[in-house]
Amino acid sequence: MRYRLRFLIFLIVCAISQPVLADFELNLNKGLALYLKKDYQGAVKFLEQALVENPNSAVANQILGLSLLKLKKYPESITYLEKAKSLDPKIKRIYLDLGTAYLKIEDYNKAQVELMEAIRQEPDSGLAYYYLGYAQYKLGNHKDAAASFDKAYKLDPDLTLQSRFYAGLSHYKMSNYERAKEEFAFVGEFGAGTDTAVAALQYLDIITSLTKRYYGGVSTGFQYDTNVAVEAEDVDIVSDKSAPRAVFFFNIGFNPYLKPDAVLGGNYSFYMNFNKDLEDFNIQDHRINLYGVKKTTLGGTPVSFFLDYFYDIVLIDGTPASHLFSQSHSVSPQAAFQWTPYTSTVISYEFIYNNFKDFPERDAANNNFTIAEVFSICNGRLLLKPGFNFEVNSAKDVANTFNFDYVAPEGFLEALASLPFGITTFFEFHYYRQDYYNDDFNRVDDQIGVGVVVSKRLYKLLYLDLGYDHISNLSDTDFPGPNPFEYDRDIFSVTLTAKF
Amino acid sequence: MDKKIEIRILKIFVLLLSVIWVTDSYAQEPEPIGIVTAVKGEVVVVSAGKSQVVEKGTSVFLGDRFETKEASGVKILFDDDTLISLGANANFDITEFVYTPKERKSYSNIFKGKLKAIVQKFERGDSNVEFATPNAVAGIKGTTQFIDADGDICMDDGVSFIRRKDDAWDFTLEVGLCINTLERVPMPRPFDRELREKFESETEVKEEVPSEEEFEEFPEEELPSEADLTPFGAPGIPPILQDPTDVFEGKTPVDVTVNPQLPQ
Repeated sequence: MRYRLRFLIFLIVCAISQPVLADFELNLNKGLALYLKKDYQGAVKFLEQALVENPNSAVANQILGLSLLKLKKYPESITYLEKAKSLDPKIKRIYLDLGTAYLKIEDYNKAQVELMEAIRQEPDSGLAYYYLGYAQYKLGNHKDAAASFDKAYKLDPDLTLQSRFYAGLSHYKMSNYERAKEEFAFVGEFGAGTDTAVAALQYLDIITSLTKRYYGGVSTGFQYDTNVAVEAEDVDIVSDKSAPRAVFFFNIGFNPYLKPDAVLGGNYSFYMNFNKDLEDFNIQDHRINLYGVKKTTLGGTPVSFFLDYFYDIVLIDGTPASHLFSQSHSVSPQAAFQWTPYTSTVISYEFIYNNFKDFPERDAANNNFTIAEVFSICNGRLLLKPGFNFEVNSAKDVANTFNFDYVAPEGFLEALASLPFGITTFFEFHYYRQDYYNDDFNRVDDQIGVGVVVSKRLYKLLYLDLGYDHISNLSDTDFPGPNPFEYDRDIFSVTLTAKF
Repeated sequence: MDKKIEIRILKIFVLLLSVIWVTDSYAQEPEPIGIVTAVKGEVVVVSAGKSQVVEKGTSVFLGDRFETKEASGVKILFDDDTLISLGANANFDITEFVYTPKERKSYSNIFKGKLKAIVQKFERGDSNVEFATPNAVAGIKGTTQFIDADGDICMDDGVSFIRRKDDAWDFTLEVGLCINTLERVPMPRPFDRELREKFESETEVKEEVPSEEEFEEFPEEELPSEADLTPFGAPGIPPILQDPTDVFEGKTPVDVTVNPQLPQ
């Protein structure tokens, strides 16, 4: 009797429990089969059902987490992967999976912790080293990142191209240019035809230019200007005439002191143009720059200091100035703080002293205070730079002339996008309000400007730029008759530049 | 044209079409009937005369013959949602597999070793899923059972119709019972816990995540940015040279005109 009772209970338990476990096993395998067939949405359906039947299955939680990772549902993915880890901390590759998921949500600190554990458990995983290197790189820990990338491709040759590219990038960020060049040169050759190789060759060019003591360039091109205006520093005088013109530019520079973290140098540049039928607007501009740069860290934050001085002289044909029009001196210190790999703050001040030979009322001490934020988006493919500038111009008082004292708050936005086929696009917008507060005619100017430039590298040293600019200068003044300061202007440009 | 010749040409044309159709049918790739979802140890499959090592994700075709080595095992999910776990030192093949919305029919042989089968119920039409050992055939219609090629067949769930290949007997095996197909007379006995655990452990193949290569992903390449084009890679450092012709900086070239005249 006792035996029969036991047997009956056994049969009942079997009848209730086994189908549930069998269903779980079947749903788990259906989910796994769909995952293997890359049908991640289908896999999720069966794995969720499997977890209803057995919520404490570590492997079902893990594969569901991975399926959601593939579907880019990162937070949900992390929830299941974390649960899998808590259910079975020794389950195969869980730390690598979690590290990958944290990389996806850009939580590089957590990714680093998981990936270090993944390596501790599986020291021969090249992929774990590769992802760890990426997390370290993103955290700005370039030294460890370079070491991790080295290890990654040595353990897993399939990761060679990517690992050596990022190893090069890590060395580049540390200003270890020789080692970076080695890596980029290898990637450029080994991965010929890939996007990675293209990027590597671009960095190789940059390193070459950064390590050159001599540099220079020549530009030539055409512009069509719907309203030729003077904008020599703070002069804005309008012709109300359109003109095509040829432009020419030349510069040459030398860096006598050139270290990865500091530079002292100088350069000379020359610009001239020829306006058709507006010879009085033809100018030549000579400029000499002296500059110094120092890169350092303050409290762990990378900071760059920049100091520039220039002397500028503008000559004009056919004006009362008899060739000499103006001279300027400028001193400009600047500091850039890189808070994160994606954001930095730029603070600068510029003092300019302008001296106009025949227009003493325009002689002025000009001060510019600027603050801007730089956002790096899409792995540096898009840069946004909104900023604010405050300008104070203190001009000389000259009897019976305009007074050119003014203050001008300005807001601006710049955007730079790296597009496919080696094309770069730059966009700029600015608005400022110049209040001539000492002017007898109560002059106030509101200027809006937009500009777009599309650049394409045609050959190694040769670039083609296509540009369009529009400026609207609205001026309000009690000056009788037509306002000489109000104008609209469109400029279309085509230039070819050779840089060496 | 002579009518006979016309008919002859037509016949040749039809014959050619038939040859092309038949050849094309033979040339078509066979469709898989299942997939390997888990592997333990060393497992090989002989498929279309070729032997290959079995991995997770390997497709299973009609006529495939699986062989597991010592301490090995494989789990296969068929398209009709039949799941089998093959234990160590086993030999298994699939000789018939039909699965349509209204019919399910399959015939597999377990020549050696042990297997666990989970067979989904099929209520849309005819169903006949059979597993054959060297001396018996078990027909299943939605159940979980364990089969040992050396004789034992045990039911964990559902029922199974078992017949000896020599027609010595047939028997309907109920849930929770085992039968030894080598015995001359069917003698069911309880599928006790000890035996069940033994079967489970001998046919256990744990599911695992796919190997690294199958889900490797790389972050996108990071292209040089404006920051890299400035002297030291720090964002915001202005170019050493403000190129007047470079509208990139949003500055128009310097022009000049006469000073506006003051009112008299």
